[in-house]
Amino acid sequence: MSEAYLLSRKRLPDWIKSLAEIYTVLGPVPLRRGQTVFEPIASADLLNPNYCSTMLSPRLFIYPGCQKLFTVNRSTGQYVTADPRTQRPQLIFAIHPCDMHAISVLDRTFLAKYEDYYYRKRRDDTVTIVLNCNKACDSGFCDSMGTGPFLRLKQGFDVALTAREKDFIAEPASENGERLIGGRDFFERATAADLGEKEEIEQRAKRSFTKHLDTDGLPQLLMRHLDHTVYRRTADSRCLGCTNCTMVCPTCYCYNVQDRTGYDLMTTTRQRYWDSCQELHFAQVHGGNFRSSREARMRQFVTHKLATWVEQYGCFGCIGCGRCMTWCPTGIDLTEMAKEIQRDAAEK
Amino acid sequence: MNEQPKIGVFKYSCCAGCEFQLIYFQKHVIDMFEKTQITYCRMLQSGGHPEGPFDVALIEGAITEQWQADQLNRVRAVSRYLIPIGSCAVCGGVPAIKNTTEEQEIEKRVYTDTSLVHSMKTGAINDYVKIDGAVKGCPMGVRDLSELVISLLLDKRPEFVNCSVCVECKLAANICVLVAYNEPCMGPVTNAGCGALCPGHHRACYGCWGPMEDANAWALAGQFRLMGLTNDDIHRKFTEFGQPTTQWKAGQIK
Ligand code: SF4
Ligand code: SF4
Ligand code: SF4
Ligand code: SF4
Repeated sequence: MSEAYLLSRKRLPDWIKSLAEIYTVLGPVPLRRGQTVFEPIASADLLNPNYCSTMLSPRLFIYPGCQKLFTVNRSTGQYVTADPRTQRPQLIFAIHPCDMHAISVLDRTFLAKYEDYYYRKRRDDTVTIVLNCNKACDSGFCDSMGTGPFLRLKQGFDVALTAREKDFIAEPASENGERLIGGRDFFERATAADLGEKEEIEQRAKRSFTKHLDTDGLPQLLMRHLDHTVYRRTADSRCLGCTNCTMVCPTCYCYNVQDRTGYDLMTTTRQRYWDSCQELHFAQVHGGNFRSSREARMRQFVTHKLATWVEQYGCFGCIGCGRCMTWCPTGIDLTEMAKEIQRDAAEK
Repeated sequence: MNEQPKIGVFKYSCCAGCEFQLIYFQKHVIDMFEKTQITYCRMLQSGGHPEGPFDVALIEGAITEQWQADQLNRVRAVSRYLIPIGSCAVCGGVPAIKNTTEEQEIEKRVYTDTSLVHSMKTGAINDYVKIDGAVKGCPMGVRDLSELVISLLLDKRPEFVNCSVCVECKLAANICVLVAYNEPCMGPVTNAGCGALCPGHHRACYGCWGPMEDANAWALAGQFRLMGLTNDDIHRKFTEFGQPTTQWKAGQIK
């Protein structure tokens, strides 16, 4: 994109304030005991730009966990599509590169051949300001997945920020992004030297990773070893079928729909809510359940994220955020499973 | 359904909270009474027709005496659908805690004269008769109750909530108390429906809705041990609400 700008840390509150006049600004806010959550903020006071990760990714602002789709009335024949839009347009502030990539991965599902009306509306109404990560987070491996620590997307977001000691480098990536910066006197032009330093920060950030996954040939390898014992062993001894892994995964798109009829027996509302392949009834169809074993469900998660997604959408379904293993009550780590399969294949 | 469906409500060993829920506390009491015919319910009216027939028999409470089992069999025979309501009926609930102690010892602790007590091992309703679904909860959940009544009126198959509490917990965006605060939460093995009430108040789930269908109690018990719980603690967790269930057996370690 064209220009890069500088915003002094002291002026961040001014920027947030001016953004909050137009948008509902959703930013990382510290919660009890070390957690961070994305919440609407009116000023920079509550903001914690140094956050590591959040339990739920900002996916939920575009693709909410539970969403009303439409209402039908049997007596009047009326069909009313629910309006998915929020009252004001929203702006996600300081979303990390992995989570921004995750939204671009979701776009491939919801905005491809068959466009999802509800997703489209929310996506169009959402401005995204990315904050690059200067340091690896606890269980992240975005560097291996090509989704971090600095943003690698060229489009699909509005501004990318890089934090330095005294200021932020701000790079707009869309017309909207230009508008959010342009005409605001607290931005200065960045120099080539500033962008050079950005490179250095990125290289330093890349060196801070302790978790890695070798993705070279991984999809093919996983598909060749679908019956590897790691699935059964992990599933039986540790998997609770609780679905936390997929609920927190920023790229999981599966949902179920539910119709609820009122006591008038005429009005029915259909809603959708996040569903999970780790749940027993997910694969229940007429005539049976094609993934009734926990092992099969575990294999589905790992191979969808790291293998079949590539064929389906041309990218990995895992952006390396580390949430699934962090929020799994028994700490099940899909990269460990993949590595075990890689090790065994190498030995053979 | 042309005629108003006939409902019979039967109560066995429990606190009667589910019947209270049905008659007084749930949101759609009036709708329900207008659209159905409650032909037998002792809490509501004396008399009635305990002999049936019923379109649906709602069974509250666990089975702890022989007469209850006998009556239950008769009710089953005259009911199109038979649905246990609430944890005692669905999975033994609180009355089944007594199964963890020797029967005579527990009777002596409560009654001075045990000659009148003819209590037996606590069982859930489906230990005795075939059931056609369940309205889970302690007390039973209003969402599933409405789903049952409306499905009956529309003559469709009800869709009861049948996933783990964790699903509702994540949809409510609660920070997970098990992972973040090392609380021994029963959510991963417990049937949802409560809306993750306890985790929503930063408390571990007690498991009061009983097991979810595919619970991996063994794995959660193992995790609890890693978190520092003793075998006794773990045993109590898996017997507080679901002692007779097969789904939680593997967690009932001694
Ligand atoms: S699979 Fe796990 S690490 Fe990968 S994107 Fe999903 S939650 Fe993050
Ligand atoms: S991993 Fe499971 S829940 Fe996630 S997108 Fe794939 S099938 Fe759906
Ligand atoms: S979060 Fe962990 S225990 Fe729960 S379903 Fe996922 S892998 Fe299994
Ligand atoms: S707090 Fe309990 S119910 Fe909620 S996600 Fe964690 S383990 Fe599951």
